[in-house]
Formats: sequence, C-alpha cells, structure tokens
Amino acid sequence: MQAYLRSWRQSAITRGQLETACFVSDKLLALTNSEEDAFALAQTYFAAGNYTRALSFLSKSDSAQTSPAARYLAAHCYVKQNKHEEALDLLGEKNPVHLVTTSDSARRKLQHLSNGLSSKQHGKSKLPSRTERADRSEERDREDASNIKYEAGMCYLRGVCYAKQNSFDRAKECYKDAVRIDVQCFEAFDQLMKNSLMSPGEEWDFLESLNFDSIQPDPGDPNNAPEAADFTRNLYITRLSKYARPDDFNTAIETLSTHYHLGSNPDVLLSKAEILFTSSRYAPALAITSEILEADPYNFACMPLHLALLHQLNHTNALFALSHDLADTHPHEPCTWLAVGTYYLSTNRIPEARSYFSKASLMDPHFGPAWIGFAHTFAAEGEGDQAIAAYSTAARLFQGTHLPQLFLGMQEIALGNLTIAREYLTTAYNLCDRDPLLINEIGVVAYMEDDYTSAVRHFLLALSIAEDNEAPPQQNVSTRLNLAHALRRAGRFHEALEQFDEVIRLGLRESGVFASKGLVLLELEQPFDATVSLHEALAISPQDPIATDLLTKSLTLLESEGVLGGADEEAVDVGLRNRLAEVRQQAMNQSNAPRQQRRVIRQQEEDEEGGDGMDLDGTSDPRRS
Amino acid sequence: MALSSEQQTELQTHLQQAVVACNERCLYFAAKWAAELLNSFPSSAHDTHDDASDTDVDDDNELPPKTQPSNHDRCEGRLEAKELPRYLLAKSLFDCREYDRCAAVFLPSQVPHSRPSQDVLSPTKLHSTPKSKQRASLSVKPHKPQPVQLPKNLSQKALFLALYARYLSGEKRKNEDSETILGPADGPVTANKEVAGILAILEEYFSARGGIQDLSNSQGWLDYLYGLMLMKTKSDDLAKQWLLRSVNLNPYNWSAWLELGSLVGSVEELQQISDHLPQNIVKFLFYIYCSQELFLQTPEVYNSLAQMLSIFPSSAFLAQQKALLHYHARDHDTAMQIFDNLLTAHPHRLDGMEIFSNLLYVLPNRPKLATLASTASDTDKFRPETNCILGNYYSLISEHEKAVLHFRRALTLDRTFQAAWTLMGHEYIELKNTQAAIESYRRAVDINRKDYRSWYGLGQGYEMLECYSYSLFYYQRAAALCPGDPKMWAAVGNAYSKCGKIANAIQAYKRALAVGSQIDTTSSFGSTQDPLSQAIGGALDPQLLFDIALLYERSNQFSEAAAFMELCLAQEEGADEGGEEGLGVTQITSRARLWLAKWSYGCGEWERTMELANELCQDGVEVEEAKGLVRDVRARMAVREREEEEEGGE
Repeated sequence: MQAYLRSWRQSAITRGQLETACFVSDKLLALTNSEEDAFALAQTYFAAGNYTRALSFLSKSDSAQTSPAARYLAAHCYVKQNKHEEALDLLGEKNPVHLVTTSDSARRKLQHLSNGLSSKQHGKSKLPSRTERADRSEERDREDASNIKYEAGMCYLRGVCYAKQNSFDRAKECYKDAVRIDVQCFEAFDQLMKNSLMSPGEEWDFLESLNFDSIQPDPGDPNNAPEAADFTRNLYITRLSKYARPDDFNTAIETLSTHYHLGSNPDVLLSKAEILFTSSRYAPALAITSEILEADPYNFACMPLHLALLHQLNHTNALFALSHDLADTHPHEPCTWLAVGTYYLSTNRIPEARSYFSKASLMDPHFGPAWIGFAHTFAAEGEGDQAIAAYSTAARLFQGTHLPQLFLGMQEIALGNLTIAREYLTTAYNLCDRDPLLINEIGVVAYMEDDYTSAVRHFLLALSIAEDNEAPPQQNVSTRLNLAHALRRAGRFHEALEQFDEVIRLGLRESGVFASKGLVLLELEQPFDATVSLHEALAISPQDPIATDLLTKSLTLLESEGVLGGADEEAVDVGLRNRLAEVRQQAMNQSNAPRQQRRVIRQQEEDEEGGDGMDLDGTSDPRRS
Repeated sequence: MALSSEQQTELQTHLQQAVVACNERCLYFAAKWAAELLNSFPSSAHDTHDDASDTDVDDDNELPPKTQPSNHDRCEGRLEAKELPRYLLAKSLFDCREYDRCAAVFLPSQVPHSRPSQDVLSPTKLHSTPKSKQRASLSVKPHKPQPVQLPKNLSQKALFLALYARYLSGEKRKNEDSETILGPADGPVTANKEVAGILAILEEYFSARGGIQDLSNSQGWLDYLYGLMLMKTKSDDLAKQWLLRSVNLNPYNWSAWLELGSLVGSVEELQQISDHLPQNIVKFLFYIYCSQELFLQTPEVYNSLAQMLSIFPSSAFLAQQKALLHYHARDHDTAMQIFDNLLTAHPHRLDGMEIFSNLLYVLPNRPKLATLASTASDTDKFRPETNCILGNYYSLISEHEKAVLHFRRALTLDRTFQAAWTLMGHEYIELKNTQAAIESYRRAVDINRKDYRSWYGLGQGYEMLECYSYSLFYYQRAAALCPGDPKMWAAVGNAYSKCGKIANAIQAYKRALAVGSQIDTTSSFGSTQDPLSQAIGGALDPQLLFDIALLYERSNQFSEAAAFMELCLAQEEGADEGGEEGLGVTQITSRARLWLAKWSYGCGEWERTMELANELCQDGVEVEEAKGLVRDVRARMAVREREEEEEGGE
C-alpha cells in the first residue's frame, strides 16, 4: 500500500495536481509516521502555497533542526510569508564558508598550494589558512552533495532576507557565498546580476573565482564534467555586465550558439540585445527583443530592455499597444506599470509617468528600471533636488551599476555643483570605464571647469570607444558637438570647424550649432562665411539672441570690406578724371548761347517723360528684370 | 557642329536608354528631359522614321532588350532578374505614390513587438497536435536576426528605388508637417526625417565598396541620391564630389546635372568643375544651363548654344535657355519672340513659362500676359507655374492680395518652387508687409542661392526696416551675382553710406558708374568684357555722380565733390563731341547746379555763381533759392565794385 501511495503521490505532483498529492501524502504519513513522509507532506503543502501548514508539519518533527533540507524548506516558508526575522533566526547569521569551493582550490588540492582564498580571507596569515583549507576540502568531501545544495540554498535565503532588510552588503556576501558553495545555485547568481550588486570588474573577478569543475553532471559519465563546466561558465558569462570584456562575451555567445544551438534562446538573445543596447545600436537591438517577445510574449526579463528601446526609438504607438496589452493580462506585474510609465514619458506627460513609475516601484521596491524612470521624471521637469533624491535611492539599491551615479553626476552638473558632480562621476568611472556617455559627462565637467585640453581628451576617448563599439555615428552627435565646442574654447579653430561640419553632416540641425560655427568662422576672420552660417542659425530659430548678436557683429566687420580691388579703383578714377578734364575743356570751348537753346528744348521732353534716373528708395525697380 | 549619322544614332540610343533607365528608377523629370531631347533631332531623321514605319516597328521591338547590356555588371543583371517580381511590385507602388510600401518591398522596416500576435496565444493552437509541434519549433527559430541594416544582394536599381521612395515619403511627411505657407512650422524647422537614415545606409553601402575612389562598382544612380542627401545636410563640397561622380558614371541623368548646377555658385566654380566633367554632349547642355543661371553673357555661351541648336533644332529646353539668355541680356524683344514660338510649338508645355510671365510683366504687356494666363489655366490649374503666371497677372493689374493668394497656392503645390517665393516677396513689399517679404525672399535664396533678385529684395526689406548693415550684406550678394547691373552697385553704395562707410560707398558708386556706362556703350555689341578694364566712356548716370559728390562733401573733400558735380552737370550735354545727346536738364542736374552755385558763391567766384543761378532761374527749378543767390551775389558784386571804385578813387 505504501508503494502504491508513493507512486500515486509522485504522479500527482508531476501532473501538478497538488490537492491530490496533499491528500495522498497525508494518508502516507498517517500510515508510516516517518520523518521522511512528514517532510514530503510539508514539501507538497509548500508547492501548493500552504506555507503555514508546511511549517507546522516541519516544526512537529525535530528534523527542522537536524536535516538541512528541512531547515531550508522551513526558512523558505518564512521567506514566502515575508517573515524575514524568523527566517534569519532559523537560518542563523553565519554562512557555512567552510564549504566554499573556488576555482583555485581545485587546483590547489592537487598541488598542495594555498594562496589567498575568497576576498574575505585575504587579511589572514598564510599558515592558518592553509590548515583551514585542508580541513575544508575534506569537510566538503564529507558533506553529502545534496546537503551542499541545501546549504547554498540557505545562503541564498539569508541573502534574500538581508536584501529585504535593505542591508545590501550582507545580502551580496550571502549570495556570493551561495554561488561559491554551489556553482549551480543560479537563484543567487541571478539575484547578484539582476540587481547589479557588483561592478562589472567585480563580476568578472567573481566569475573567475568560481569553481565550475565542481559540477558533476552525471555520476556515471565523468568525462562530461569539463564540458558541463565550460557550458555553465559560458551561460553565466552571458549574464554579466556588458560593459567589460566584450571579447570574452562574444566568444561565450559564439560557443553557445554554434556548439549547443542556443543562438535563438531568449536568454542568449537577450544578452545579445543588451550588448547592442550598451553600444547604442538600437535598431538591431530592438529587432532582437521583438523576436524574443514574438516567441514568448510575456518574457518579463526582456521587457525593460524592450521598453527602453521603444522609448529610445520613439515608437509611441507600440508602447501604447504593449502597455494596454500588459495591463489587461498582467496587472500585478511591476513591468506592466513600467511600460505605462514609459509610454507617458515618451509622450511627455510627466506627472502621469511619475505616478505609474512610482506604482511599479511600490509593487517591487527592488525594481531598478522603475526607480530610474521615477527619477527621470523629476529630471525631465528640472526638479534637480528631487531627482537627486530618487537617483540616490536607485544608487543605494544597485551598487554595482554606474548608471545612477552617472545620472546623479548629470543632475549635479545641471545644478552647477561641479565638485560634487565630479565625485559622482569618478565613482561611476570606477564602476565602469567603458561607457561613452559617462566619459562624455566627465568631459563636460572638465569643459565647465575651463580645462579644455582635458575635455577634448575625454570627448575624443568617448568617441573612440563608441567607434570600437561600432555605434552608428548619429548616436554620438552630441559628444562630437561637445568636442567641437571644447576645441573652439581651446582655440583650435580649424579642428573645431571640421567637427562642427561633421556634426551638421550627421544631421543635427539646431540654431546653436550654426551659431557656434559662425563664431568659429568669425575667430578665423572669415566674416562672410560666418554670416552665411549665422543666417542658417537664424533660419532655424529666428529669435535666437546669440546668433543675432553675432550676425550684427560679423556684418559690421563686413561693412569695412571694400568692393573694388585697388587697381580697378584707379582705372575708374583715371577714367573719371579724364572725363572731367574733357568736360571742363568743352565748357571752355563752347559758347553759351547754343547750349541754352538746346537745354530749353530738351527740358520739355524731359518733363513729359517724367523724372527718370535711379530710384534707390523705390521699391520695385529691378524686379523681374 | 553637325553630327555624323552614326554619331546621331548612337546619341539616340543613349537617350533612349536614358529614358528607360530613368523611368525604371522613377526619375520622371529626368526621363521627360531626355525624351524631349530625343524628339528634337532634325526633322529629316524623323521623316525617315515615319517613312519606314513598318520596318521601324521591328526596330523598336529590338530596343527594349538594349536595357539589359546597360548593366555592364553581370552580377547586377543577375540580381535584377532575380528580384524582378519584387521590383515590379515596388515600381507599381511607387507609381501609385505609396512610397512607404514601395520602400518596404526591398528594405522592410522592423516592426517592434507591441502585443502578442493572436495565433501564439489562441487556444486552438494549443489543442491540435501538429501545431503544437510547430510551437516547439518556435523556440528554435532557424533564422537569425540580422543586425545589419542593409540587406545584402540587392541590385543597385532596387536599392535606389527603395531609398528614393523613402526620401520622397519623408518629403511628403515634411510637407504635411510644414502646414501653412510661412506658418510657424514652415521652413527649415521641419526637416525631412528620413535623410539621416538614407545617408547612413548609403555611407555603409559605399564604404563597403571602396568609397568615392572606386568607380567600378556603381552605375551612378546611388551616387546621385547620396549627393542629394548630402546637399540636404548642407555638406555642399562632399555633395559636389558625389554628384560629379554620378554624372561621370551616368551622364544621361539630367536630375544629377541639375543638382550639380544648383551647387555651382560662381563662374570660377563652374570653371573648376568643368575639368572633371565627362566630355560629351550633355556637358555642353549643362554648360549652357549653368551660364544662363549665372547670368553669363559670353560669346562662347551663345556659340555652344547655337551648336546645340544645330543638333537639337526643335528642343524646347534649348529654346527656353536661349530665351532666358536674351532675357538676362535685357534683350526683351528677342526673348519674347522665342517664348512665343516655344508656346506655339508646345502649347501645353508649362515649364519655365513663369519666366515668360515675368518678362511680360516687365515689358509690360498685359493682354499677352492675360492670354498666357488663360492658356496655362486651361492646361492645368494646379501647377505652380500656372499659379505664378496668374499671380503676375494680378500683380500687374495691382490686385496684390489676389496675387499673393496665387503665389501661396503655387507654393502649396510645390514648396521648392523658387520663382513663387521671390514673386511673393515682391508682392509683400508692395503690400508693405516687410517681415513677410523678407521671409519669402529668404526662402527663395535658400532654394536657389544664385537668384540675385531675391538677394536684392532682402536688401530692400532690411533697408525698409532700417537695418542697414543687413541690407548691405544682401545687396553685396546681389551685386556679386550680377556684377553687370549698376542698380546693384548703387544699392551697395547707398547701404555703405547709410552705414557710414563713406570711402566704400564712393567705391561702390564708382563701380556702378563704370558698369552703367559700359552697358550703354557695349550692349549694342552684345559682349561684356571686364567692365573696369575699359576707360569710362559713354553716358554717366547723373544721379550717381550727384550721390558721389554728396559723399565727398560729407567727407569734407570739397574739391572732389565739386568735380563730380561738374561731371553731373555735364551730363546735360552729350558725352563727347561724337554727337551723343545729353540728358538735358533734370531734377538732379539742377540740384547739382544749385550746389555748384552755392559752392562758387562760397569760393567767391561771383561771375560763375551768377551764371549758374541765372541758368537755374531760366530752367524754373529751385527758383526761389536761385533768386536769393542772385540777389546776394549782386549785392556782393556791388560792394566789390564799390570797393574797386573806392580803390580806384584812392
């Protein structure tokens, strides 16, 4: 009968018929009254969402204290019920660091060498660490493989609890330990990456330190192990920040798509889209996210990126349709309200956008895009202080990404606090040194501090990074414009002129650009070309005061330029003088009388014709001629 | 320069191919131009065609395949053959003016995901077993996303058509966004949003094929489009290079020549590029066209025009150019005659007729203008040319409001119709709406920088607003474009004097003087050399002389002033003893006389003063002042006589 019930329970669980499973498990427990079956019943209740009942069964037996599996389940129940204190009490505060395995340790076991462990142990002297190490690997070997997984899971739960209590540093350490103990504990890894708890450099160091060799895919076939390790490593690489080491990233993607045909897997595609996004190639990135969502319409991992791209490329219609669809189908998903907020942001209805972003961030206080969007709404309205407050929250939540720091820096630049701005930007730069936008902002600070050589250097660097990223030049027009301005202020007018021309060629048609080009031309003492350029500025924005001022100035310069060359002038003068001499001669020679007559006669004709000659003030003389 | 019959046949073949090729790429105007030219060979050639009508039909049948060899690149031919069905669809859509659809045939635009397609979620999909298999395949899609913007393996023809359609759809949208003429959204504020995208594609395309240096990989059409786009982004130098490349590769695309012509801003530039032009018959046509646009009047232009007319005797295009040349030379009667003939030969041809209406306005010849207006209206009421003619007509009968209405209508039909902008500017000046006039002129010069009338109009507008340094700049541009017109230089001089730059003003006036005298002496010979290289001969304009004199007076150079006043006075007489008649007494010369009288009074030359003042009294001008002077002088003379007497007495 027990066997029958067990198989019944198992099949019910696989079919997802949890009521049946509960019923059967209950009977099974009544039959055997074994701890094992109590645990199984608790697990079933957990799966069915009855966390309290699961807990009560777990607490009845004392297995919760002894078996890691039961402890894990109990803690999980607490976490699910948002009872983080209780969960922490149950889990204890200490991570089982003795179970940590690192990539070095595997090698070291063979070579009996020890040199530095996880970053925490660095301070300790070498000798104890060696003994510890020996102990540890033995301990680890002694532990049951499944227990190790539960220990990692508990580390993860600990991290979740800390994160809920807003102590992100401890949460981060817990997550890291969880992954170190069990590389396959993806939940913890996902939390680390999703919340950007580490900077791009840290992420890579962490990944290097992981011991993928500990993966044992199939006990029967040990030859598979290296391949599985490599595979997992590549999968993890696709989740890392896209700013550092694009080459490694590309090889990982390459391997995954060629060897394992994961090229069209949503996660791999998503990481591809992300890398396109970070290098400003929006249109192809959007093509990829669209493809992902075509296959899997409610892939919420992909959604924030898709929304960002739609916003960037100004597809308001698509945003509208998408947010309506999401609101109909998934009203309890923060992403839905992020979409609505993004739509309002795109259509420039800031107050609505703000309320929806705040709704999204209330639903999930750790939802980064919503926080950033929320802050953007303040920035869009020019409310610097509130924007800074909101960005700071985002910066606290997502310590690993440079974006909130960058935005903070931008806000401070807007407020004119250059020193503070520089601090924020330096922090951001320490987190990520490959973002053209960030380097552009640093250049702006240098520009505003009148350090033009440094500004020029930064703008050039930003442009060269963008070029390395194969970003379309249209995306970097503003950096190029900044470069042009910096060159102008640095007195390198010819180069500045080239850059301005390039900016105009790239299609930026603002009066300021033409006005600045005019200014450079004025500096180069080409008032005519300057005038032409300033006219273009005024054609775009007729009321531009700067362009008007400059135009007046350059026209005044033009006034003093003559119309004739010296030689021509002389020829005309000589001609006129000769004529004058002739006239005087004539006057001397001729008698008065015939002249008078002629004059009288001709005057009548003249009167009939009416006054002729040049009518300079008249309006329509040379018209249509 | 008569062509041998082989040469003529070859030219005909080229033109025929050009018409087909232009039509294939929907360059309708270039096709029309080439077709017009094709039909303007000497009539004898036509006659033989007509005689051998039966055999000719066969010949014509052989012609269309000749478009095939025009793709010298085999690969292109293969591609074109492969995409023929799609091409036909695109072409048809273009002809129906569905530009976006046409562009999407070859360059499908990415439609971003907005809501899940129905079939992914529909329950029927989950039910049936074969479809569920399909659904499994969804996750492993065979095709990879193409991050590259440009699909490979497109023939140049297809790419051109797609990009051109995209450009036109951008233009259409720009037109819609611009709303009313001279409204707030009209003008450079609204730009064609497609240009940047097209530029990016073409840049990628050409950089993948060796850039501007490698001529072998292009047929010249895409180069034309690239040049056009560069012009839209104000990169004129680059644009010129690409257009030159285009006309070298494919000389029978008149649109490319036109764009190139619009980039040529001066005679020097024309000289510069002429070395890089292909040596063929189209170059001559281009040269004639450019010279006409630049108001050149050299004998070479007339020569080559005559040569071309011997090859294409019945070409309406050439006739129009000839008429324009004569019109610019102020030879109004000849110009009118040519236009008349043109209109009789091609009664439904409206191209360029707005200039004819300008001519009729200037003459003025109201009945003819009215006839022209009604002919044009009969042909097509909704052509910008028609509306310009009507506008000119209403302007002539002083109904300026109506004239503006028609010019506005012309512009609604085509915002790049430059003549209408200029004419509307004139009307606004008449209506004393200076701001609107300035704006209109500005748009006119935006479209065509070589239009000196609009520059002049801008100068006038700003002069009316008393912004003299602005008006100076515009007058200078006008004078630079049309250095043979004394009015331009006089205007420049006037503006200089208003700005207080007297030395420059005098220079400008002198130049006007020189140019003006040149016109009088040389216009009968029909040739202009550098006007300043010749000594000043012929009649001088007394007004200019008077103005110069006044300027010298202002700068306290009284003897110079007096000299010019004398010159001015002398214009009453003939210039030389050579029998030329003077102008007689005019307002200006009388004022000069008065000035001189006062001047000699100031110098104490009583006799001269008396003489001049008496002349003034005789002429009946400024009599009061002259009489006063006479009295004064008499008194002085009396005093002097008395003194002399006294001296004698002593």
